[in-house]
Amino acid sequence: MMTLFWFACFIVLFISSLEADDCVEFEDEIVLVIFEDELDVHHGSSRKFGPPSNISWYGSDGKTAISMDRNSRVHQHREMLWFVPAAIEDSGYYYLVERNSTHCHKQKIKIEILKKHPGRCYDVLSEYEQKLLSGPGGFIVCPHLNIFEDKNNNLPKVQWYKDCKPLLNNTKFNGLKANLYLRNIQKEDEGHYTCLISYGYMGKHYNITRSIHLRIIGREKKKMPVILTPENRTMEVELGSQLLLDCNFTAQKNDLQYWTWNGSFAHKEPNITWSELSVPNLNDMNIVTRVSRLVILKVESRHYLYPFLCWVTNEAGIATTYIALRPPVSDSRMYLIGGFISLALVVTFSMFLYKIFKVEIVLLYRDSCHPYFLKKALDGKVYDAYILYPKYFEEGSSYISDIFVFKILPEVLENQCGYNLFIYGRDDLVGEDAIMVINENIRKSRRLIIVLTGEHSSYNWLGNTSEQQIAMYNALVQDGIKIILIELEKIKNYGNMPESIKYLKQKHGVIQWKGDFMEEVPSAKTKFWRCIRYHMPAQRQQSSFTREPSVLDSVLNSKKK
Amino acid sequence: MDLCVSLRGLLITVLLFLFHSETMSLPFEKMTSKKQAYRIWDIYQKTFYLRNNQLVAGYLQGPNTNLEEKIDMVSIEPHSVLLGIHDGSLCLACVKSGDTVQLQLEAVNITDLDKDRNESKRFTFIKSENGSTCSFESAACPGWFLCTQADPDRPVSLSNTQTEAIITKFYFQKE
Repeated sequence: MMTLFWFACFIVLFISSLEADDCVEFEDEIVLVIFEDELDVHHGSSRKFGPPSNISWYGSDGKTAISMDRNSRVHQHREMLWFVPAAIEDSGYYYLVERNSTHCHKQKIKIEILKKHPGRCYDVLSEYEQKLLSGPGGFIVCPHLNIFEDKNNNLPKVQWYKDCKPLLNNTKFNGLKANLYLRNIQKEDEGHYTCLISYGYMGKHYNITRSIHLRIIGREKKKMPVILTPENRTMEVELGSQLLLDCNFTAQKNDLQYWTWNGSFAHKEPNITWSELSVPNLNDMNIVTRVSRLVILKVESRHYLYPFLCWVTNEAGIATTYIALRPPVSDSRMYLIGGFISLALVVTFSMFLYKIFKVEIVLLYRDSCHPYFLKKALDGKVYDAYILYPKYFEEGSSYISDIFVFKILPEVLENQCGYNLFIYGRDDLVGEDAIMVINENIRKSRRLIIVLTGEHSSYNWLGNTSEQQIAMYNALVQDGIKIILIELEKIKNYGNMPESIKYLKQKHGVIQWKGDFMEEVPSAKTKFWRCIRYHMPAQRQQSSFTREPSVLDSVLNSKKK
Repeated sequence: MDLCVSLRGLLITVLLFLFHSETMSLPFEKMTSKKQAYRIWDIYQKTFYLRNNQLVAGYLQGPNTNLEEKIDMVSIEPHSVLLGIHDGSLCLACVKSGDTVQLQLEAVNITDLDKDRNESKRFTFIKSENGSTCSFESAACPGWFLCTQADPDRPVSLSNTQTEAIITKFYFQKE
């Protein structure tokens, strides 16, 4: 029986020791500091396990359970450790044990109770450090008061003190629940703030205070950063070359500088390095001139796509400048452009020359390439030109045109140039039907030469002669043979001329006779004749159809009669 | 006479060479995206500290102030940053699993992350400044901002909603 009792005792001890050992112990790094004579609560850190777990507090030996009696000065209420109020001797370690069916967690917590000194409302050991930036408004917060909120989340009124003097709600400070809002924050707002609430517990009121050391982080007024060089620019860079980009700027302490390319940091790109040089300003030690250098070891074609941007920023603003790269205009392209320009110049110049020396060039060409025309000219035509000229029936008035048509024209075109002309009144046979002759011979001719004389003549030479009508019909309508107009005298007014002549003059122009009618042997080399030859077809054979001048003379003479 | 001219030319060349090497050896300091330590606290004065290997935000009293975690930041783009603690050895990452988005502390070196852009995406935050405060939006989880709870000693997390109980504005100051 005794042995059974001892065995039972052993089992109980064993289980209890097992139970104790089963708990994993941790020491909380967070220390709670409380002033003596103040009420405070420790709620431990957040739960380790889910809700069906049991929380109990133990004293410094880790075994003595904290009383659950709310009238006890130190007790556990609603899983929290209450000091109502705290006393110096409460300082020490406490244990929070959380258990569920399978696990146990034991937390060692240090709590320090500070002695209150009369006339001092804060202690560095109990202070919370809070920081605000000078400038606009911000909050300071009276921490860990939410346990004292009532069911409606309302806190007892929070009293604020700065350096132990009470603060009144005014335009500068505005208390909102546990927060104090400070407007227009300045360095002078630095100091020791205390917040106080009075909390009723078990029929008595206790003070709860927190002290805050507020530091103001000064932000001196900054000047806008200034980039000295370069200005925004585009530079030509050879592909594959090494490139230094310098950004020269004045900066104050902590001003940030960087380069970007295509929206990213340029120094993140391969083959690009970033370095900086600071040159202190001897006049103002706060301002330095800095040179930020980007070294592109090898310029790649993609570097041409986006510019490199130099940025300098601080609180006051941003300064930026860009350098865009561009491939140099290559030599071959330069040559190509130059070639095109010179080609265009040559073409223009040649056309200009051709315009001026057209006649000479064509004649020279015909002369030098004479043999080829022999073959080409076999077009079934007999005459090179049909000569249409005014026929005067009055005595004496025929002089100029007859000399020209019967003497000068054949002399030059037939004898000297080798053309074959048909001149009515010379080449027709007596008794032939005039209309037949004209019609046939115009068709056999390659050109139609129309000789015009001065308007002073009352004779309307091209009035309604059948020769003229047939010629015009053939030239303009049927064959479309080319027409050469020759003006023997200056004709000022074409009003009396038939419409066809006016049309031809407008279309082809006229060749003005410039020469001497009395010249014995006119030269084919004058400008007038060169012009006529230009309009004439290419000669087939030089001087193949020479005629005896005596024949011409006889014709002239017969006409005169 | 000729010798004199060529000697002078040689002298100029030597001087130019010397001057050139002089300009090249100016004390330019190599720059990179540097890791910088910042103090972070939310607009209700909560600082960051570690509790059970979790980053939480709360109020640290006198002896506890040394537990404050400073944030190590590396800029990887003009507005993109990597955030870490413990000298950049634990980095803040946004991890998506299903519909939930979590802030995670991962044991990676912040300076190693800078090298691989794809790998660093979940560690990247878009930092935006608004007056004296900053916000940090996760690049991998757009719309999710680094936040603290109004209640103290709660984990630092990510939030895509704006309520009074969620604080996404932080003071962020260089050490």
